[in-house]
Amino acid sequence: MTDRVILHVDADAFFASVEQITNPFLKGKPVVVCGLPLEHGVVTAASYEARPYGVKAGMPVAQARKLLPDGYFVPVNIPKYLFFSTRLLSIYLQMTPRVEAYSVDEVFLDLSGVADPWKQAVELKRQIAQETGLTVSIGIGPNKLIAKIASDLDKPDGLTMVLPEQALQVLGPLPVERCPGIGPKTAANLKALGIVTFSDLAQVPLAKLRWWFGKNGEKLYWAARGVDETPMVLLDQLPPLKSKGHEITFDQPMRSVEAAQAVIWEISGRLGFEFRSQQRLAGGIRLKVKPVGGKAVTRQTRLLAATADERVIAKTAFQLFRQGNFTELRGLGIYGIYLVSSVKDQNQLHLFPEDIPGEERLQTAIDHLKQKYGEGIVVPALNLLSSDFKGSGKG
Amino acid sequence: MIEEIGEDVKVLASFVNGKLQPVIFKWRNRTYQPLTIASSWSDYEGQFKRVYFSVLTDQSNLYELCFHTRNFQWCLVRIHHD
Ligand SMILES: [Mg+2]
Repeated sequence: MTDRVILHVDADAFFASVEQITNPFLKGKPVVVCGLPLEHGVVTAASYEARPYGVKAGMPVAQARKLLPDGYFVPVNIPKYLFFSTRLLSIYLQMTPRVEAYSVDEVFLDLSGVADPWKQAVELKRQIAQETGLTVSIGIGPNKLIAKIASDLDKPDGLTMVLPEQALQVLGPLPVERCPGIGPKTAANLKALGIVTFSDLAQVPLAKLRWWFGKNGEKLYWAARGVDETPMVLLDQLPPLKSKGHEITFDQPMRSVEAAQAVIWEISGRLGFEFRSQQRLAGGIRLKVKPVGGKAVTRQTRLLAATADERVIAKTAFQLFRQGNFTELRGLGIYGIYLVSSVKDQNQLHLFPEDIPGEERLQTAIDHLKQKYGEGIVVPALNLLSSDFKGSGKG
Repeated sequence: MIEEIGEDVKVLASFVNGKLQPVIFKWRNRTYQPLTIASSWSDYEGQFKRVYFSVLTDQSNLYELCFHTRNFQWCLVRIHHD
């Protein structure tokens, strides 16, 4: 694992920047991307123009409005951000197949063995700006840890390279929170022990860190020295998502078949909609039933033809339900299994301006991002729950 | 200020180099042209692609148009008044 060259590419204020790109009037203005419902949600992202006012992700929208009465508050639009995320991934893949999609707006690129990584990074920034209008901050380092810390040193639109021999010097004065994986809680614990910076951390013997932090102690010990051998998780190494479903737990035991049928319809409707949105088809259905006072029971069946049709999902789930002799239930779940892509023609013409070359190849990565960030879609009202019990969604 | 509209509109579109582009749209008996495309993106509703365009007609209004491939219908989603 010697002579690795890793880039960490982080899109600047990603959600807010996408809003500014798709609406030129928002360019240069303080933009606050809000979770839904708009007035009761929390801030999802703030543009660089909004940040001096103290507006931050995670803060209630009402509070952000007080800090920034003249701000532009826009609702979060996850499908739109995923579109730009996919465009970025396709640009990275033109440079190297060794891409790890770390989050919706961050990737690691492995440029080991490439002659001039700095020049490549400059070219990458130019290409991203030209093709998408986005700016990114890039960190270059001998491993993922240093690359990620480096990209954070100069933002927005920055480029920072840390050579292996500079690592200790660069990390030394940084607060330990800059280390990915050290959250506020660990940082507070370290601070109580007098450890504030990376160099403080590097002074602590391994045995002591192990004593304090168990198996994480060793990670901290190496992180303090800028040592990280975490491998890249390439796009084609992502496991396919093979099943997806939802469970509902009831506040009160459910006793009637009609009520069960209503719940089955509710979950099936949601699943069918999600599968269609994600261009997936279920090749089978799994029903999970939790009887009162007993262990969960699952039953599953393969379908004759893969489907995203909620009527087929519901009918199949109900057949599975009737095969059991359930009397009192505390929960019920339905899963689509043997999931496949519904995109049949992989070589279709790219008719629309936003078609992304190689989008099919990115499908698994996109699915993972979707799973992580949610669809941002509105689920149609299919609530057939009878009023004798209320379910709490879990999914 | 952003105004949500969500109304069907008539659009005259062209294919330039194999790519769809709205050229003129008509909404509430008014014709809007020429259109400058500021940005475009897409998502899916079910298996059907929806293609969005944010277009400018002048310096003070931005219109977000959506083309739905399920029914080949255009919709004016929202207007941003500067
Ligand atoms: Mg970012």
